[in-house]
Amino acid sequence: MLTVFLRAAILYALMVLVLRAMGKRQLAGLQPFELATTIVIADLISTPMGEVSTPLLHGVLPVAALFVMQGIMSVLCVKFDKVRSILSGRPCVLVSKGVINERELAKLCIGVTDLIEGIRAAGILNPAECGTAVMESNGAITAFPRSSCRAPSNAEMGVDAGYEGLPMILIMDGNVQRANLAQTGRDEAWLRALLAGKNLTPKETFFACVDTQGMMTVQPKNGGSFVLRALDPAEVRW
Amino acid sequence: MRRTIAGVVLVLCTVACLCAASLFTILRTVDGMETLRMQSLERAGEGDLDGAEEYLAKLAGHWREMTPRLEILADHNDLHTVAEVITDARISLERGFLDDYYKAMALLGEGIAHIRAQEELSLANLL
Repeated sequence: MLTVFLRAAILYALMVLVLRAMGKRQLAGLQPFELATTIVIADLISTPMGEVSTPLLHGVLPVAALFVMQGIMSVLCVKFDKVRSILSGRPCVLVSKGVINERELAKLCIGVTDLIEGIRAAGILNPAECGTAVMESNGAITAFPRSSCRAPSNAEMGVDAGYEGLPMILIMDGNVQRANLAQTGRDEAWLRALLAGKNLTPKETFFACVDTQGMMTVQPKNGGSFVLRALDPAEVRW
Repeated sequence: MRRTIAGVVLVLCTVACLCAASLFTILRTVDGMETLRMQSLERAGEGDLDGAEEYLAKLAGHWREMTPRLEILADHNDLHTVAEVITDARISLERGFLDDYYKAMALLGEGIAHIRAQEELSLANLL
């Protein structure tokens, strides 16, 4: 049994190293040690699942080994930056000040097509408008436009847009979301009274949510939707 | 973070307990089997076939008793092979086919040694 556990731990460590050596392209948005677990775990579980002659523990112990190894690696990555850079790698700058870093592309085995795809995925249509692009340690490309090519922010224009937080969903398919309602600081009677003003009950409402400006969007089950003021923005506490 | 560390420690402790229990159960069983096998062979070597049969019956009983626990810990095919060889040895001894009996007992020794070797932690097993 201990042999099974240790073999799984050794092979997992080997797999992480191989994935790390294969480069960021293979990572599909996961850290190398997460990807290793994702790939291996299904196979480990399916072996004792399909073969009655294999004891269940021969499937359980390797999975436990993966859990332990991943837990240890996660903790080491958080505690020690050096370990993190060894296990996960570091982000690489692919475009800086609008100039593509050819050496970095060659080092990472990434073609210009891949880079442009990544830039498009970030919402930048024209590669010439890209100011900075970074390949993150999980293989994802993040790109930012040149400051001259992006829309000015509210802060730059001196506009106070107010607080913008997570809208609270209060009704889903006729069911009142009590936990969310409690977070708004109101009760069900308040919600019923609000809907009654529009000749609706929660059961007749397909969807309702209130945003941090205090506006509630309501979609009745019989179709259409409308917006009404539900709260004063000053009353919003979430 | 604390939850992860606690989870890792908990799983490690559970695994250590499982491995220790497995090692203890398997080694105790195969040691008992090996002793009975040697005693049966000794009796047969001395010409005491009834004595050899008695020890072989004890061995079969011990195996039958331990099999449900071993099924949780060891490969079913290895256990089945051992059970087959025990039956072979008993039939051969009952019929007086000593050559077949010795062959079956040798195979039984191999089967037991294989189960023991698989459980023991060794570099050969790891690699």
